[in-house]
Amino acid sequence: MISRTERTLNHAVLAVASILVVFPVIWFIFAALSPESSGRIDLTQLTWGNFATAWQAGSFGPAMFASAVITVGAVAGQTVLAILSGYAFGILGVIGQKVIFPIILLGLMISSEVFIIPLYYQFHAIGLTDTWLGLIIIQIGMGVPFGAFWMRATFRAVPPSLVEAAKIDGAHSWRILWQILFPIVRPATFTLVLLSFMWTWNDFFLALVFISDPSKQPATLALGVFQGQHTLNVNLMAAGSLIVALPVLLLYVFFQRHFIQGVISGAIKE
Amino acid sequence: MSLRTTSVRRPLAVAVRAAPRVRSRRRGWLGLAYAAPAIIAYGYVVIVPLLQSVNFSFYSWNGVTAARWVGISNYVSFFTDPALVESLWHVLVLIAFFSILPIVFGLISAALLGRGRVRGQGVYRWLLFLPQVLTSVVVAVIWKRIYGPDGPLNAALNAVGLGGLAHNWLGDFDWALPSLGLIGTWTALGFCMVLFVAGVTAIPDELYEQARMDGAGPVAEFFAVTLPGLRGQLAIAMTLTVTGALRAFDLVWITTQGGPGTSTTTPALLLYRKAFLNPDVGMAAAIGIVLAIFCLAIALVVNRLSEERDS
Amino acid sequence: MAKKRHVIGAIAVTLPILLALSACAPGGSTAGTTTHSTVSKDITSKPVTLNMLDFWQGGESKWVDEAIAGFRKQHPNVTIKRTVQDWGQVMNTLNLRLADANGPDIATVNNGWQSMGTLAQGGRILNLDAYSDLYGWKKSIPATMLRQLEFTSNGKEMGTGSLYATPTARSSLIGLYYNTTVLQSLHIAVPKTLGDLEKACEKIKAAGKVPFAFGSVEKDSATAMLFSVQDLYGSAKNIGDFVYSAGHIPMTKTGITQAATTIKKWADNGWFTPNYQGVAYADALDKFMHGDGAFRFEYTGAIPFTDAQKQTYGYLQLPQVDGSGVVGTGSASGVMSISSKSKNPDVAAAFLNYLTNKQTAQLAVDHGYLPLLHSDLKKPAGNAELATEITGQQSLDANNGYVPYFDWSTPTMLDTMGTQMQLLLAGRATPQQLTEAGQKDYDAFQATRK
Repeated sequence: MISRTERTLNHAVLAVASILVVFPVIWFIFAALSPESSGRIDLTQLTWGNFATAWQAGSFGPAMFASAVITVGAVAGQTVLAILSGYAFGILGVIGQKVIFPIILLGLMISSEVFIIPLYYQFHAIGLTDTWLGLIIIQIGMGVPFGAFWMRATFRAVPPSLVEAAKIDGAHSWRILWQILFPIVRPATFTLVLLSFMWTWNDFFLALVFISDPSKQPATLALGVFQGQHTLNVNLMAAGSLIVALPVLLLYVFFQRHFIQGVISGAIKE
Repeated sequence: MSLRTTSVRRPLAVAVRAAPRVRSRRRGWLGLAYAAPAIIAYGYVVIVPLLQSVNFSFYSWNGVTAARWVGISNYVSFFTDPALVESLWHVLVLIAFFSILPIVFGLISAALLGRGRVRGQGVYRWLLFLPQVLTSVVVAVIWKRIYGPDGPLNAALNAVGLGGLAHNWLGDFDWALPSLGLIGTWTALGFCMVLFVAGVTAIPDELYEQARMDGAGPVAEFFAVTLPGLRGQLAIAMTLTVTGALRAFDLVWITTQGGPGTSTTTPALLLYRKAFLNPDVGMAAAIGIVLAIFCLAIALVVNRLSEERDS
Repeated sequence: MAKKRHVIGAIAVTLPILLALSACAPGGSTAGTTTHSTVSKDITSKPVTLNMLDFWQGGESKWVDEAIAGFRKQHPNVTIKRTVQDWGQVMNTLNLRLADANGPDIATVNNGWQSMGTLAQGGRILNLDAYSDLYGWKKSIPATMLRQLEFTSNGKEMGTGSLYATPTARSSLIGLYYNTTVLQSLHIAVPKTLGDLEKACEKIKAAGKVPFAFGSVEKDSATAMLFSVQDLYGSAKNIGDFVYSAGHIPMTKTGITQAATTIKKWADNGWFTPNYQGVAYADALDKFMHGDGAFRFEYTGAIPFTDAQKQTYGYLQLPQVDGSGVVGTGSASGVMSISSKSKNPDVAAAFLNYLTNKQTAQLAVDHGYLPLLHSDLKKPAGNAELATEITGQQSLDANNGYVPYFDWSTPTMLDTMGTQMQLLLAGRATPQQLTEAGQKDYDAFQATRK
């Protein structure tokens, strides 16, 4: 048991830290609600109109749709590959995995700037630049390291006796995966889906390089253009930024436990 | 993939343990079949262009006209070009802010909080973790406003009578780098706190009881029980935040573009410049590869240290 | 340790592959010139779609859209699909985009070595000499303007050789904007010389107001002022020759040192927006538009004046300090090149030609922008501000005083000057050191050209 003073101290520490962390975000939200283009905050005069104006001016509608298509495609692909490869590396074992798996993990330490230019030429050669499909394939490939790492650790945490028992029953590997193991790893898979969603949605750099057609650009890129046009309108810019951040924020509100545990234990697992 | 100040996408990559328990040759081939789609996608999107980048790094190439073989001279200039050397010093400063500060605060709060659940901890956790889910573009836009001469930070300082402390945070040669650093502290703080508090709650109570029976005070207890118990988490936090500082780009690009003067340039910023603005693709590739090697080395060293103390 | 073996294993596998790959050089063909052999004014009547990549946003975007509409009236079978991105996005990815057969047919490129020079040398953009002969651009476009768009096909020389881009009939100058409301409230006349300007600033400062709306958080925000003031000291010939690497003009003879000295003096006098080192470009512009600041050095077309503001703001092309004439930095507000991958270069060239013609110039004026290449245009009604810009432009025309943007001189000059200006204003570099740094940049680049 801890004493009352200690408890109060704990609250104080947490409260101060939380305020410091949240204050900039709160301020930004109020700036988005400010009627003044300077973003000056007057709590007596808040307006939601900035969001509608920004939505129109930045044509965020098509951009949000593009983001949704890219993100859904990429997350679906990443998840399937993660399950298959996690199962392979975690349960079945892979020929040459002592070499292959470290090379896959290498991808976690390398940022995309390093290889973006050869990558562009490569996709250009097969005609997939400036397409959603191209961007989805790139996101899928780049999601492999974390996905394989995450699902491998998840599968390895499953009691081996379950797999053994199923094998004795004569189930083959495909059935073991989907009928026995998948229900067990479903929560971890859901966490992976959320994290992939967040990372894909928040991407700016890949979209900047690979998508040039404005009718195909995702929301983060639209925000970039929007900022160029509306640098003088802090309130609109804040509103536009919040629109782009909203889907991830909403998921975070509902599934915060998954996000936090995902990130934390993603770091810790083995 | 965006470069975040604290990149959570890259967990402690090097912690690979031995292979699975059950293995047979046949299953190994079966496993390869299951892993094949991922291996192919990864190989095509990451490894092939990466190898090409390695190749580029031995050339002087503007991305358009014919390339010229220059051997390792791009790598040599990484350590001799004054702009790059300066950027490495900036990284050291950023490490203090991106890594050391959040870790110290995280440890202090873990020491305070770990020993008893606080009501509403979930809410605090939710708030503290918020910067991790915001896209870096939005984070940079927010802070650029906050640091403005008429921004809320200076306004707050003036309001409490500390107007003398108000600065042109991002426009001042002495303050720009620390100001950028504090944005990194802001993003990483919640991550470190949540990580460490979770770690402390996993430390068996018996260890604390034992320490108290041995007559340890709160400070001695922290060093005898809490700190050793958090070794794994510390290794993770250090790897992620240090490599985050090494790779800092989005934030710097949107807030200061490396200015004023060259006071906030980072290697990743120079990489971007050389890859896109003043194309010198070979040099950009060399910078990227050296950075990747640094990150890998840091991860290996930190991981090694934390394991050595283990045994 | 098992782990160590993994890493070594990975290296053992990848190393031979790396070595094998290293054997082949990256990069495109050395074919420097890409000329289209058969050129024609005849545009087919078949439907053609041209992709266009440009950076014109906001009001400027409307001007381009109307120009496109005008072109389509003549050629209804042509569709022009625009891709609009901000300047940085266009420039950062232009080299990649123009390598793409599905990429843009026409694009706004940047003058100078960095963008146009590289693209010309690498054969990514078409040599337009044949079209120039076809459309008579050498007659319709002044030589000083064409010079900005010429490179030798080996990419070693700028300002001579073949034509690689065409200007649009809209101009962009750098000069001094003033707010008459502020000046009148203090009974100050619009300055006519640098001396007048400095006296005016003293009065404004004494009245407790801000003489110059200026912010320098972004690296390149001081360069508009630097180049503008430089034009008051350096001769048009010296600046031009320095930029085009013609002759051997040292940077000290381009007026840059005097300009830096003057600007530093203004800063020390407190004539800039308070805390200007922390003020963002957009915020300084915003302050100027809200009357907080009497003067501002700016690119024409960059300030989105409202109709009311068009009556109270004005533009000024100051004469040189020694009274020898008027020199100013100016060029087309955008120059267009044709991708060598374009399947319809004839159509693209026809559109480029349309962008140089009188209709486009008139459209620029109608939208409140400075026209280029044409003078006999209908003056805009009720746009006093634009009238002052036109006066400034005419004084440049009369003095033959155009100089190219100073930062075209090397691929890295804009960055070098931006960095040095921030150092100068913070008191960490002297004007002499600024010039030395620029000269060093210049010499390093000249060495690579040999």
